[in-house]
Amino acid sequence: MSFFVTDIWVIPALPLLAFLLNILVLRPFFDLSNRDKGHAAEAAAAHGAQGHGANTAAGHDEAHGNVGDPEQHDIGHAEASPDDAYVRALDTLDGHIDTPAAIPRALRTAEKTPGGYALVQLVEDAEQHPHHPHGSPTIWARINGYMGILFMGLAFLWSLGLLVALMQNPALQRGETVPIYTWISVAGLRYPIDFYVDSLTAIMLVIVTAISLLVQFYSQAYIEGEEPRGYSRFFAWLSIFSLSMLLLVLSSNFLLIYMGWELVGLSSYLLIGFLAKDAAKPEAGRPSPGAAALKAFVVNRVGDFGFLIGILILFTATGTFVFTDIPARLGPINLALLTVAMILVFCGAVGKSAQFPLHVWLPDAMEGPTPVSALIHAAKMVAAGVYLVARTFPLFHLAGPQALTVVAYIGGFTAIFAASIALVQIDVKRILAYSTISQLGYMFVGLGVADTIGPGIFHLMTHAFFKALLFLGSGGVLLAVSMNQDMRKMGGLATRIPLVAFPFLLATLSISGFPFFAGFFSKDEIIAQTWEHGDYILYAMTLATAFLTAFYMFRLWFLTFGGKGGKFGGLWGGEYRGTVAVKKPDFRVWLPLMILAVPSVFAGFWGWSSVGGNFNAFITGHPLTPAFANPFTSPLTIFGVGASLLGIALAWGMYGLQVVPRNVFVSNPLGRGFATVLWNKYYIDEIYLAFVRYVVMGLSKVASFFIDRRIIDGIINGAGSGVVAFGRGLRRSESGRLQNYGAAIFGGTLVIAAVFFAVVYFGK
Amino acid sequence: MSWLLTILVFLPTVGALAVMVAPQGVVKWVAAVFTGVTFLLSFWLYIGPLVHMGFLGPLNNTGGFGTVMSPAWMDASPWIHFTVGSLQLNIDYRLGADGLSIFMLILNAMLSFLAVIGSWHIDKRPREYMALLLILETGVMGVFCAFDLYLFWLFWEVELIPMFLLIAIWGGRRREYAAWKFVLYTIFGSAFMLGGIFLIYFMLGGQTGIYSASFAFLASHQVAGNLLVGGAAISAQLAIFLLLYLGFAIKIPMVPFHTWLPDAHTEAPTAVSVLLAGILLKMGAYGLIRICIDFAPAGAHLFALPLAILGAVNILYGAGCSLVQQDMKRLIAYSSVSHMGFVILGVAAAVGPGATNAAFKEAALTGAAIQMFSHGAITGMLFFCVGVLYEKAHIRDIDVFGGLQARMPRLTWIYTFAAMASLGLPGLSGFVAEYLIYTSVYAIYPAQTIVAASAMIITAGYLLWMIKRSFYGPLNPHWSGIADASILEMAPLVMLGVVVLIVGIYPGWLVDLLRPSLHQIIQNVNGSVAGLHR
Repeated sequence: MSFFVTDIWVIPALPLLAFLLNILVLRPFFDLSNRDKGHAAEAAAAHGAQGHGANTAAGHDEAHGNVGDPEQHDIGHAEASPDDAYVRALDTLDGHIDTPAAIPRALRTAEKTPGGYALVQLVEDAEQHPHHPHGSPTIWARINGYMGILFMGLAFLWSLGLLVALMQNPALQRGETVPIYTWISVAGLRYPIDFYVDSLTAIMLVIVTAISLLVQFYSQAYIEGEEPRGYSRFFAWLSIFSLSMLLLVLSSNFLLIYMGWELVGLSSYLLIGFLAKDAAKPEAGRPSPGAAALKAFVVNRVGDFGFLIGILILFTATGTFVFTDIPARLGPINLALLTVAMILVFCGAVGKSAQFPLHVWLPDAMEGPTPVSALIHAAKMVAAGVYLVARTFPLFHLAGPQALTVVAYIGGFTAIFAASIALVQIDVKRILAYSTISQLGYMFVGLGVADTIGPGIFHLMTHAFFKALLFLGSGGVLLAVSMNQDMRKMGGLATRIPLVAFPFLLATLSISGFPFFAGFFSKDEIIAQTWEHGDYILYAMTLATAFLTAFYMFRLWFLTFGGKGGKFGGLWGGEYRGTVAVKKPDFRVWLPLMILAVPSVFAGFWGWSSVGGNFNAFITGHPLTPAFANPFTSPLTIFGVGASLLGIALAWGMYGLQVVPRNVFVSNPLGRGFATVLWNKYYIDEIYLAFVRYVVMGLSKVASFFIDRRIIDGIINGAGSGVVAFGRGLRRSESGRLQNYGAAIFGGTLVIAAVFFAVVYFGK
Repeated sequence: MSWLLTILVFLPTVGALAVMVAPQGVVKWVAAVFTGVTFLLSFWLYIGPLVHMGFLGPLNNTGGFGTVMSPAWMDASPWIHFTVGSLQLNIDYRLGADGLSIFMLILNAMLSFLAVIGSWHIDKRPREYMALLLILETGVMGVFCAFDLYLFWLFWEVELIPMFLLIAIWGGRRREYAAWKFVLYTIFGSAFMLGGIFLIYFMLGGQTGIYSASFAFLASHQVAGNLLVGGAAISAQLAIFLLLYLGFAIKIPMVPFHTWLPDAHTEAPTAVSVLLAGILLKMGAYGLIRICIDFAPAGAHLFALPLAILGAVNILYGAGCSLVQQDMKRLIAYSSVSHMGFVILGVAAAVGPGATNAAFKEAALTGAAIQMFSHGAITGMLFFCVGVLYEKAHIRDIDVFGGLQARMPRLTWIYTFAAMASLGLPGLSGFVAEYLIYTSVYAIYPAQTIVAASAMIITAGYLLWMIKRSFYGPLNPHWSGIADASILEMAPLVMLGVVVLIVGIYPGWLVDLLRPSLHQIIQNVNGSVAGLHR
């Protein structure tokens, strides 16, 4: 057996080592201690700004020329006359520090008033405005970055070696368990931490390490531009993210995959909330990073809850966690129970892969730095759900057909549902987020209908490349236009940042399913599979989604990079609507994009058996039936390509050539109403919020403030006052007279004797 | 007689005396030295048997640290023997430590030491404060290694006095109310407990002719027959179980006997909160495992279903209450209610139905025991975190903070770590216990497990929501001058964090430590359950 397989622990060990060296050695002892001491002076300045907040903040505002944002000035004016409530609150605080009850209410009132918020915001801005970062990472922080990149590069090489070894040796492709250690062993139940390597693992390892490597390389520039102070920490979190995902991918059992699963949740929590100091931007419909991180974690936990119950059913029925052991040990398990278990396992995938109805966290997760979005969307978090279904596919097969039907229909519905929301959004990253949700839907359709994991995983792979490119590209755009995400302030960027625009265009073509691009092969394969298996509803859904995808992606392209006056009918360049000067990105930004463009264009040929090989045969050991040998002999492909081209043409007509009026769909009340619903994302966030606020919190308040405080404590306090009254009465017995005490002692002894006698008597 | 247990129990008392006579300036140092030495000595409880067996012994050896019948450590001498006619009262000074005791003793020694370090800032009568902390340590040590039921009860009551004083003197605004509530609740429970102790002692004495309250005797002989209560016959073991359990349930605490906990925690000083959550609640859980189900297994079996329901209710109810708290300490107190529910649930499954599920039962009991340890360490961390914040801000309300991450990065990360451990993140100890309990209890009580597991969503919600509101977002300028946690404040946090991490990554050693003790209990339960159904 190849050492690439037997020593597979090297791959997760590398990011672990990078993380430990970063967090335990380089960051505390070198990076932090070598930071410039400007921090203390700055803190003092901020402290002073409390009193003279108005001047400092306003001065700051003008100095940096935040034009084009009138609200900013309004806040400045409101701030110039500090809110009285707030000043009062400060006085209260400084004066009576020991009366805690009085403070919070005063502070809370202050925060609720607009002035209170404004002051908080502006002092913070004056201090560390995220868009005007000062300082740069120390050399040690940079070394942390280099180390992360180096170690991830080694992990990538190891994965590549593994993939090659598996390709050369088909015997290895069918799977090999690599034991690591026994976590717990109790009364014959074993909780193993073991790895499992087969061709699915190898493909996933290559995807994960490749995307991680490129994203880490790219992050150097991005984090330097967005949050230089967090440079080391960011790379530490990236390493722990890679570690979690690699553990998940390598696991041989439900225990380790669940651990990796939760750790991925942790990493995403840390990374989404990375820009912790930022406030919410309600005017742009954006939550604060902290809120987004919280939401991501909790929504994922809803899915994990289902996943856990699924694991429990399987484990208690078979006594093992190991994927390959479960089928044999299932025995005469109730088919309905297995079906339920697998649907519950799929619940976990719904959470992580952001499928309806648990998709709500993913658009908000855009509040993380853009490289994180790229990681979450392309190779890590969301891929985990698809991977889980693929990994447990034999069990889905054993279960009743309902299980895979649920998978396919949740996927199909999510695909069209998310694509429809993406149609009307104006935030670059949010459109890409909804497109991810939609594309993941495709993958689940592929897994659900195809009887094999090939098409789903194939789309996972191509999507990983082009979606990573799209996100890193959008990050390049944000760097160029000073972190403004609103497409209405972009336009014509293709001629201004061509090195970002060119790969971005290739990825847009790929995701739109333009012929011969990677996305075309993988997506049309899934569409064709729905038809081959006679599922015409899903066929219609996926075909319609292909049209919508092409439309919204090219809408994004034209609004961002093209527009009126550009070359080729508005495709390349045009009018720029923004106000900030466009900055050219450096090579650390565009080089990863160029590299990613290669697989985004060519990876699809692996699925075209007469040209590039047979992906499905590598993954599953069997070529896909019916063979997707030549897409051009299949009449189905014509429809897929047609839908895609139609979408591109419509977007071109509306936003590029501008021959189709922009308001063609919203000129009638029905269209306007529908657009409003889409703009508000079908009001799902609001429904969930209402449920949490009124049902969950309401019941909790009843429990805490009524049952506990009133009923239980009422009884206790009542009993307590009784005791006190009794004690008052008893006090009279302390008379000081000896004969009284003597009587009491005698009486007490009698009582004790009686009790003993009773106990002994009844005891027999 | 090895004397080690005696030393461990009474060294803190000697320390308390030393603190009382020490010069004012070195009071804290004296306390630190005595708790520190106790802590180091307590390790020998674990390492000694390992050395004896050859270092890797227990990994393959089920004898290991012994059981309640033949514990690895034993200090015993006759004490009170009192006979009047047919009434014999035999109370022995009997200290013992098997796996189940050892790890609670080490946890107690560690948390007491950290509590002294974490109380370095106490200015109000530090001498008395430290002396009381040390006496508390003695009481708790005694509870965890008393191997005689009367001695157990004695130590159980001894712990009450220092705790009462610590809350009532060094507490917050409503400290006297909280202290009285704590004491009244506990005494209410211990009265029933004493009744249970008398009942088991005299009934068993009557039935076997041997009057002994030694644990080894009680674990190997079970009460038979029924009791007439108000004309109805109930199983004597059930009566014993319920009487004892009431005392333990209040300590755990179990809904609806839990309302003393949020008040006591909120008012107690930081280090006392740490001890309260880390150790005192565990006394209830320890008593439940060591005494209730081992000495009255058939009674426990009869009460298993209500116990499982109560456990699930505890978990969900505590989590729900945590969600709406404004005070950080109150929130964590309710989270303790929730997390201790896992112990009840695990124990319920261990004594539950199904003869074929012995493996799952043992796993459930192991999970319950690990939860005791892990909750002690994690909640200790959480309370220390709040303590650091309170020390600087003099307020604990979640909403008054905001954006503290900018000023207190160290505290932010360690607090997040503790919260993650508490919500059951893999790789940390909370996950070990919860996962063991879920995966085993489901085989016996699936519905209760599902209810319990649903709390994982709420737990993540309340802990991370708290973190979000206090540490994320723009910095509230009032706190722009706040300092980060100092090295002294970080020390206990980091130490506990390391323990949490080690147990989370490789819990095998803890399971090996516990295995013989728990195996004996499960055998006892299965044996008497089989007898019950025969």
